[in-house]
Amino acid sequence: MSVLSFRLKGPLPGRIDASSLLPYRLAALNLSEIAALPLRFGRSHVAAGDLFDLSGSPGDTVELEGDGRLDFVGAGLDGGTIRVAGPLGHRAGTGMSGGTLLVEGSAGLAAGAAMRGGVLYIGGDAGCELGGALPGERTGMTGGRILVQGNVGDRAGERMRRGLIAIGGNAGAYAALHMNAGSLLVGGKPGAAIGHGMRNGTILLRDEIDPLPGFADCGLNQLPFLSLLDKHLFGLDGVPPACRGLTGRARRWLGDRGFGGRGELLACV
Amino acid sequence: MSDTYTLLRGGRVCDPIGAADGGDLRDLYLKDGRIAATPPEGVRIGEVVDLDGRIVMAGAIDIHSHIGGGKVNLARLLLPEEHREHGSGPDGLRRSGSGLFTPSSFVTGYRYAEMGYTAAFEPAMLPSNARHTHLELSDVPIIDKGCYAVLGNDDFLLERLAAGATQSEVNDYVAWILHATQAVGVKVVNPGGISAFKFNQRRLDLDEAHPHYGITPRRILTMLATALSDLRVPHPLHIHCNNLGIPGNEAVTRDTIAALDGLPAHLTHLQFHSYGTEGDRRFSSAAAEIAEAVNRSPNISVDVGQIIFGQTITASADIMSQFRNSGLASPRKWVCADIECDGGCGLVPFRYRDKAFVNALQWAIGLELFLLIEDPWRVYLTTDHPNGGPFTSYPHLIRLLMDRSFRNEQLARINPDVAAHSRLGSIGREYTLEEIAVMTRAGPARVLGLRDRGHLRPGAVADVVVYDDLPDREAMFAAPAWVFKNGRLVARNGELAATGWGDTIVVRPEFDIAIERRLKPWFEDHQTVRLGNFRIADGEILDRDHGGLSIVPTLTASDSCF
Repeated sequence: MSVLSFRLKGPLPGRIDASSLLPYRLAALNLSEIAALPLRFGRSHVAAGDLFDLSGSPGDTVELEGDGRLDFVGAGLDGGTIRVAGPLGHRAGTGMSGGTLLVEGSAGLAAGAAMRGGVLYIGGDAGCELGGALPGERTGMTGGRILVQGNVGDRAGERMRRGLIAIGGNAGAYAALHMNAGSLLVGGKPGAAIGHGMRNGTILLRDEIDPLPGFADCGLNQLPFLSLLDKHLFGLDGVPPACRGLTGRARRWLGDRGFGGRGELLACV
Repeated sequence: MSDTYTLLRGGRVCDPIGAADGGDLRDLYLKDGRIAATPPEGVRIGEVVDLDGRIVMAGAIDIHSHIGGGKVNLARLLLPEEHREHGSGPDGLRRSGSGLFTPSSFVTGYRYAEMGYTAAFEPAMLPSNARHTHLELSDVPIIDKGCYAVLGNDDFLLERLAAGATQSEVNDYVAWILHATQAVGVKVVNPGGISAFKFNQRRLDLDEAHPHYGITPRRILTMLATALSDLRVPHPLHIHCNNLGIPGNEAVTRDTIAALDGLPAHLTHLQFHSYGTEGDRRFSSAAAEIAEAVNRSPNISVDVGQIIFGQTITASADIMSQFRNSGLASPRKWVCADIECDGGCGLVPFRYRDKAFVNALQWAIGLELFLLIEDPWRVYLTTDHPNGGPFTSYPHLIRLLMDRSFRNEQLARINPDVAAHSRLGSIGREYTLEEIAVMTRAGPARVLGLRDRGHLRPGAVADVVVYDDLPDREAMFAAPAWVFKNGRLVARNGELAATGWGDTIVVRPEFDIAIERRLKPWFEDHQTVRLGNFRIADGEILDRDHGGLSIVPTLTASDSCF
């Protein structure tokens, strides 16, 4: 397995669009071509070699030293692995369809938005619109897995259609806003108005909440599928521990009844 | 202001109003943004451009193109993927922008200028959206622009007509709207039909009474057409007929022409209103009948609204037809909205497919209209951008009109049933360059009352386009060699060379201000803004420093009205 490493030479001059640093794209280039690769920087461009020291050889893995001003890392990723030591800026893994993006630190806004496949792992926190929709789009995430150890901002999983989002910490307001299908797990405390406008899909929580009035209480249930789900999660790498240990016992609400009401909120005790 | 001349030397000037047919080589002098008469010997010539016998025309004028305002903005919002995929960054000359068939305002101006268009008219400005429309159009660079205010479904007018308003009251209202919204004309969209839609009516024929107000489209049409004629507004009523897109609507189109009874009028996107019900599929071309009716009626001018195969979005105030077509949306999303009880708005993305019988026949109907309407002074080149296709497809359309073998090649490629159902293949006519100059310049200028545009006589605005005389007319019209706007070079070989601001063209007929006594309480009781705030002051357009106001003079007794 060949690994290509990008080490920051110094502080970044501003927000950098790093969407071109995808493993399979770089694998076709040699080191000097990669160093000359233009990265969008505001209205102009800056060469990758001016920002990073490169080492290793291009292959299926890219290692990147992270920075909160590095945007679009792994955007459009369709295979291979990107490992990031440190935090990332906005739109990490936007529209990725395959491969793995591992972020040790935190990620900014709209990480994994419009994701179609692959795995996005975030060791720290994530900003608003995690796994959400691109601006103006009616569909958000349509596949893949997003695993966040820490807390996330507002509107996680907005307009989600398929896939899994597992959040170890707390979620902001309007999680699963207008969700169509898919699964959202919140290990910590959910924010206000969770599930607003959801038409279908599943939200799993670890504590009973007082949901929006659009949700109908269906009482305490023993749901066998939860133990199957727990088993499935056990087989995956990086699922936050707070999302694990589902016994099958859960309080169930159906909603949002203003929008068809076929979604479910499950508080798994 | 400079005192030096720019000399365009040795071009073949094709100027139907100036009576030059592109035969002989001529010199053209530009000075202070205008075409100048040949100066006396010894005068200092600043710049000399050698045209080497290239074709010279006035700047082209698009009489009907949805380029700004509420519904265009909704169309942009509805198709974010279009703007993600077609973006361009700033390059020192241009500002950034995006879009293909709903381009952002700056891109709209650049693309028009690069194609040799120097004016475009937004045909569907709802009065309640007028401020937004002007603000947006003031960000369209280079070209001149103007708007037609949409009337005929607004509750004030319908209620007054139902109450038996006199013609002079309607005249005052129309003139007041023209002033208040800074418009250059009035368009009526599906007269009465948009309002009827809100009362659950799904089609409305010319003599069918409105379900609430009890008045007929015929009455609305004739009152508005008479109003513009009485007010001596150069651009006659711009009519989007009833029952757009419904097979068999040719009858209502012909009835509309008959109802006008000699009053001047402009029928827009006629292609969508020329459908018959013959054949197995109950959908046929009625282009021949409609063209004949137009040929017989010298009071009528038309634009075609040609469709071009490919993805686009249909944007119309005709909520009745847009709601009916919403099931055909591709991609599957659409918007219909009421706008302040003033009119409607419907946006349905659409992909015209050349293998689909209906779309292919629409394509043929448009071309039949172009070719069967004999007088190029009364038929203008449009795709009803973006409804039939984006304005960037005009060069392709010009080639279809000028090149019969190219046209027949295309006809052979589309749904084979169309060739059997259409007489297009048997029409031999090919437009000449001079006829193209008429239908894209002189004709629109005349019907809009733009006395100093659309021609190259001394005194005209120096909007000049120079084309290489290429056998491939599409390539020729897509990338003119030079484009001058107000005497300044703005594009070279189809690439933007400089940018600037064009004028907003308006008309200001005289009227009796007493109409405000009736309007004021209406605004207070029913509208979201007061009358005083509704009116757009000149300063709102001028203070942005994005171009001036150009006032079209009203017709005088000596003008032939058409």
